[in-house]
Amino acid sequence: MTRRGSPPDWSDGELVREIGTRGTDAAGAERELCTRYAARIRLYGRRHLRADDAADDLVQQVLLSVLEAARAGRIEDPDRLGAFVAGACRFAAWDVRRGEHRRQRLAQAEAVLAVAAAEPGIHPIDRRRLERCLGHLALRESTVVRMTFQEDRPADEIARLLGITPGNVRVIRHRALAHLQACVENPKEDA
Amino acid sequence: MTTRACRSPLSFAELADYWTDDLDADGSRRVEDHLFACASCAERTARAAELVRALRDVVPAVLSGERLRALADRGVRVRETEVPPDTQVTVAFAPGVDLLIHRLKGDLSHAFWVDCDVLDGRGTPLLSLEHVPVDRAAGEVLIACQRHYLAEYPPDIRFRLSVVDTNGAIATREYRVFHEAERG
Repeated sequence: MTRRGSPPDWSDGELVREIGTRGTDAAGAERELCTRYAARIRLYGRRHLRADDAADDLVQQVLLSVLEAARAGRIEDPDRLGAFVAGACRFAAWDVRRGEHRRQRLAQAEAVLAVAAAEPGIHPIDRRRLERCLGHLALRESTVVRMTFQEDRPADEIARLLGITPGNVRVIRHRALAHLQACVENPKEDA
Repeated sequence: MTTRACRSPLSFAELADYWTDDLDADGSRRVEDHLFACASCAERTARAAELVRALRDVVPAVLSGERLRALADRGVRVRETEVPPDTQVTVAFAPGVDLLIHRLKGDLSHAFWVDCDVLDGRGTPLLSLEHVPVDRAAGEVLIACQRHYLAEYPPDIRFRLSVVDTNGAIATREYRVFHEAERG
């Protein structure tokens, strides 16, 4: 297979093989691998560890362990790098929750530090616009959104309070979130 | 790298359930496996995650005492005013205040649930909220008024609480708050 362009154009498998064989573009390949996966690892961390600083730590830990595995040729199927990163996330999150994670060895990985320090490329949502979009929701949608996100009530409790089923709650919430996403991402919907 | 379109994208419902903890362990794992293998869906979930995060940050118009304490713990500067039913109070937004809290008082000990309508001074509906948080023991509903509301809503605001008891009987109480900006 002929490889084209520079690391950002390469497949996951090509990046891993370049790093493992210490090719001339190995440093670029490491940077690209980090760039490609940092945001996904951070999101995983936010979902499972519930704290931004813990998610940032997780990005560093996971990227470092993935780079070490790639350098040592320990990634069995380079073309399924995503599955390897997912596994590394699960292990690292488990380790963080046990309070035994270590931050050593980070100085060895310049690419990790540079990428882990960067914020993911998602634009933050304008809070005022979001408030206006909330005002456009139907009453029941807005109630379910408020109870879910601002009152932290589980679907079962919301269902009981509103006299509907948990399945209804999820359907109403899906619809509300879809409306809100369209509204915050499209100023015309916020008229 | 250009993100390739996904041939079997995760549905918006799956992404929403993932971020609201409504998937079981197998469902979450399946979503995550897909996200780590698919840059396109990862980008979509990042947008969904940002929306959920922003929604958790929104200060609701009616809030619980617990949420109010959490805001105060985060350094939000609050000015609180008790408002008895069928009265009008004037509240000033002082320069150092981030949030006005109107404590709408009344006997809520038998309330099954409470709905709240927000109206302007002439009675035009502005906002309806159902099943709002209630402190039955303290007999109050907490209204949160943010500074930017001064530009978005008229100064003269009426709050109408519909208190539904366990027998389905509805008692209505009205409160009136005149908002003004205090100059520093």
